[in-house]
This record gives sequence, structure tokens and C-alpha cells, in this order.
Amino acid sequence: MSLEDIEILPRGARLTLRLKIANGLHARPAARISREAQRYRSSLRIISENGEADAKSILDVLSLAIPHNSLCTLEATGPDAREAVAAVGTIFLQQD
Amino acid sequence: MARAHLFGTPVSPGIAIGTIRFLHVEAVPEMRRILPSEVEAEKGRLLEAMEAVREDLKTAMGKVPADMQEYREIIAAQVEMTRDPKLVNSTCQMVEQEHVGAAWALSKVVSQLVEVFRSLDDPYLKDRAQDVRVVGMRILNRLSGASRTHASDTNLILAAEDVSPADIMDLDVRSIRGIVTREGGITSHTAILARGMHIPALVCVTNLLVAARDGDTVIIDGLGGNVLISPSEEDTQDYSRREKAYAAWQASTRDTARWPADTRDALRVGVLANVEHASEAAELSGVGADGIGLYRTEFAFLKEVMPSEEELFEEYATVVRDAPGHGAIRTLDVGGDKLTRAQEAVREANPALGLRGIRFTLHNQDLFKSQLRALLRAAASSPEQGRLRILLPMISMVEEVRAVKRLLQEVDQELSMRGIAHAASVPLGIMVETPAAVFITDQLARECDFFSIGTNDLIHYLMAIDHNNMRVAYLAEAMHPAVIRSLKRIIDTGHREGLSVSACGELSSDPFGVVLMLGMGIDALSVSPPFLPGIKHLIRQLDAQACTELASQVLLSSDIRACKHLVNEMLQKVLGHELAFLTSTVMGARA
Repeated sequence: MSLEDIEILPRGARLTLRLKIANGLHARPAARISREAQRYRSSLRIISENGEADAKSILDVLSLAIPHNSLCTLEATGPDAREAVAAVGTIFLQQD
Repeated sequence: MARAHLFGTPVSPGIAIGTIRFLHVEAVPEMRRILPSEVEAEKGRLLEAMEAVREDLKTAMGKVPADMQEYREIIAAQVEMTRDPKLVNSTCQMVEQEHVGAAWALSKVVSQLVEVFRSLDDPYLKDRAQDVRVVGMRILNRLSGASRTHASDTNLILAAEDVSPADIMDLDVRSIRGIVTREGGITSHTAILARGMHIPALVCVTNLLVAARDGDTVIIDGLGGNVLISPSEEDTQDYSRREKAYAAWQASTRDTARWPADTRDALRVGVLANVEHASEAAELSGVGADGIGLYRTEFAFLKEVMPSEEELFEEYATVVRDAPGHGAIRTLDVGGDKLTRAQEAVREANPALGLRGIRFTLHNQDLFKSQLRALLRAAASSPEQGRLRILLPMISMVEEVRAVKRLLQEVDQELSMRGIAHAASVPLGIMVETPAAVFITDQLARECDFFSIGTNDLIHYLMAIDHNNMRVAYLAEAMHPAVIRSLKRIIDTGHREGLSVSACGELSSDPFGVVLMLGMGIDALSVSPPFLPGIKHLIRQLDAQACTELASQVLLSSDIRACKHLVNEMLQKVLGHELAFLTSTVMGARA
């Protein structure tokens, strides 16, 4: 599973990956994800077994409480969907 | 407001008179209807307030000192929250659809979010509810036009439900004379910050938010545990006299702090410091500490990312280098509930009786071995042997000590093979704080080099009370015969087996505890640095023989009140008016 696996959809992009951040999605990476997601015009959703969240909202992302190594899907819709998925996906794959 | 007298738990000594300033006053804003034509302007006001709060927080973040980087992370997350689309959109939507004022809409949205976070299982995320609430309150304060600068910006007494790090960074630290909070405990942010700033602080002040209003004059007495709201002329005169007398007393005890603490009959008692940060070690000789009796290692682990062995080594080496004598470093004492998300957080119904202290570290050996390696390496960083000691928390079985010794051997071999400088062995001690340990002190003594009595936990476990449960707080009775007998047993057995015995709980800085433990022959007391000069001064006024006689009387008695009276009588006799300068939770508020 890597960034090469991004699927291109008719209106956006999708990537399924495992969260590699060592301690799960805690405040600091959540802050980084929402900051990064806000740089793109596309809307971006994080889908995990705990539910769905708007990647641009730190509160939404935090409340998903995604643990380390769990499977999630990033789904973006909009003009820069692929770039948005790649940028946030990169954070998901970082170790810390 | 009318004159009111409140009580709280003193966590930092001193007396202060000033103007009370509430941080983020949690006033529920009025529900105000607006016209459809006003919607846009109202939304504009909201966004403007959020922007302003974001700037404030960024400024606060810039002021965080280098050794408190974990606070930066907390504030950084709060910055993101101020522009959170969920927060902004839900609030704007409510303003648009229901035609209500932004403040009211915001408070509704914030309380919903707080509920969402509180309902999460993860203890780390549960705590984030506090961040959401603080950000919400800041924006609300902005919206209500509350100005951040008052006319009297000197002599401030901060008041809040609880104080968060950003709050302190926000204000001019030099203008703060004292802190009072409704929540918090002896190791809360409030307590640690106040002690670091040398200002008085009281936590758990009941009715604080009801009895006082922003701008009221207030006296806080961090010695007796009193808070006087809108004091009378006499109160003010009385307390300014006490404030001066205390300052003079403090200065005089500080002047003599470097002298040893010998009783009148020439018995020397070691007075050590309880320390939380490595940076504090260098300041200890100024307060006359003979060494560090308890270095708490939790701080480095409460960050979001686990500390590396290198970081731990640096930290412990600093402690060893800067401590005025030996330094007893306690291995990680947390339960799964406290370690943010460093490990898969363990959820326990009753963490105090769960996998904490040595139980936790023995179950997380990678983490524990990394700490032990850092400790052995730091021990070798000083040419003097035995300066670094290892202290094990929450011991209840001999096997636990043996398991640690085996791990230490493994770690020693590993380090030798890798050719890394380290000490092959260091003095090993245990915290005696469970009733089980009290009953097997003789067996434990043969496995280790020293005992340290953790009086706070010992009292809670002996009395079977949850320290978070206020309804049973009255049972936290240090003078209970079970507590007194346990202290005696630990000290006697330790001595019989040739061990030194010290104590490091709150009781060590309580004049009642000092008299009794000294009477039982304790070798050293470990106290929080601001209390240290005063405790040394107290010891010099005492007669060890008289303390021993008094301790024997107390040991024979079943009447707690009578015992307190006896000890109080002795303290009055030797200290006179000076007794009021020492904080005692055994005696309770004395004003």
C-alpha cells in the first residue's frame, strides 16, 4: 500500500492505506492533517471503521480516534483531488 | 460581592492580596434573536473574533519556554481549532437558520463538541474536550467584547476552573501574585506552575465561581488554605501584616537553608527535594537540599511521542550532574490511563488499583529497558559512585524487585557488549506505598538498598479510598493509627536490615508528619523545594528525644483528636507564631 495506489474516480480520487503514525491520530498529526487538507479546494473525507470525518476539521479528525496501523480510506472530490489525497496520505504514512 | 470566606487546598505557600481575574468566565451568553438582515454582520463578528483568538494563541505559543515544548503542542492544536470548519460552519449555520446571536450559537456548538469528546473511550482524547472548551470560551470572551487589559493589571490573582499552560503564557507573568482554582490537585499544572513562579496557589476552592466576581479584591492564604473575597479593612490589615511577617520569615529561613538540619540534641536529618524537571536540579543548593529524594520521570513520557533513550539519558545525566547530593530517580509511575497514547491505552475501571507503577513497566519491558539503560548510562556520567539511585514505585511483591534486578543485569550485559559507558549497578530502592509492602518490609529489605515511604498513596491504599472521590476525602487521615503503625513498622524494619529510610509524600512537609516521623527515626525527608528551608528550620527547633517520646504516646493511643492536640501543643511550644508559616493538611485550615 503506497501513494501509487491512488485510484482516480470520475469526480475525484481515493486511497486506502494503513495509518503508520506511531501513536495513532493524536492532536499533533491531526493538526497537521487539517492544516494540509485546508490547502486544497477539494473536499476530503477520512473513512475508518470508527466512522467518517472531514479531513479539514481537526475536531472531526480527532474524534475518529484512529489507532496506529488501522485501515482507512481517503476520499477527495474536486479539482485537485489527487493532490489532496497524496498530501494527506503522506502524513498518514509517516512514522511520527 | 459581599465578603466571603472560602477554603481550598494549598499547593504553593505564601500570602497574596490582589484583584481577582477570572480566566475564560463561563457565562452562558444570552439567547438573542437577530433580524435576517443582521445575519451577515453577525457571522463577520464571529470570524473576526476567531481570527483574533488565533492571533492571541499564536503569540502565547511563541512565549513558551524551551523546556516546556509539550505545552506548545497543546497550544498548536488549539490554534487549529479556532479555524475548524466544523466549529465555524455549524455555528454559522445556526446563526443563519435560527436567526440567533453568534455567541449563543457558538456556545451551543461548543458544548455539543465537548460532549462528543467526553464520550470517547480514549483517555487522551477525552482530555481534548478541555481544549475545545478553552478555545470556545476564548472566542466567547472576545465576542462579548471583554477587554483583556484591565486598569489594575498589577497584583493579579488568577482564578479559573483549572489553569491551562496557554493561560499563563498569555499574561505578564510578573503581574501574577497568586492562583486559585476550583479543580486541580497537588500535581496539577496549577500547582507546578505556581511553585515554579514562587507564588501562592490554592486548588479545590469550593464555591469559587459563585462567590467571587472579576475585579473583586481577594486575599489568598496559601499557608492556612483560606480565600477571602472582598475582605474587610481589618482582614486586609491583618493579612498584609502576615504577608510581611511571612516574607521576613521566608527570607530568614532561606538565609540559613544551607546549614544542615540538626535537631537541638544534635541528630542530623537529611532534607531532600522532590523534583519534576531536570532543570530544577541546579537551583536546589540555593534552598539547601541535601540531594533529590524523588525525581519524577513521568513528564518526559506524557508527551505525545515516546522519548528516546538518548533524550532520557540526557535528562538523567543533567539530574546527576546538577543535584547537590545523590539523586533518587523513580522509574516511570503511571498507569495506562495516564500515558497519552504512547502505548495502546489500557482502559481500567479503577486505574489506581490497576496496572500502574512497576506493574505497568514490567508489562512494557521495551519501554522499561530503555529507561533502565538511560539510568545506568547516566549513573556513569558522574565520577562519584552511587550518586544516581533507582527507586521503584508501587511495589507489592518481592518478585517484582527480583524481576527488575534481572532486567538490570540484562541491560548491563547489553550495554557492555555494545561498548557503551555505564554503571554496572546502582543503589536500588523501593517506594513503600502499598499495604502489602508494609507487611513484607523485612523480605523486601533483603532485596534492595533503601526505602522511601510514599505517604500519599500509602494513606489512600491503607484507608481504601479513591483520591479522586471527594465524598471519602475525610478518610485521608494521616494520624489514623493504621498509618502511624505502618510508618513505624517500615522505619524499624528498614533500620533493622541496615537500610536508610526516607519519606517523600505530603506528610514530609507537614509539621505534624515531621515531628512524628522524626520521632520514629526517619533518616531523611523529601519535600517540594519551596517548603525546604522552612522544614529545615523546623527540624532545628525540635528535640529528637522529645519527638520520640511523643511518637510513642501517639503509637499507643486510639484517639486521633487527642493525638493531634498533643502534637499541636509541642509545635506551638517550639515554634510559637512561626507555626502559622508552615502548611499543614493534618491540622486543616487554622485561620
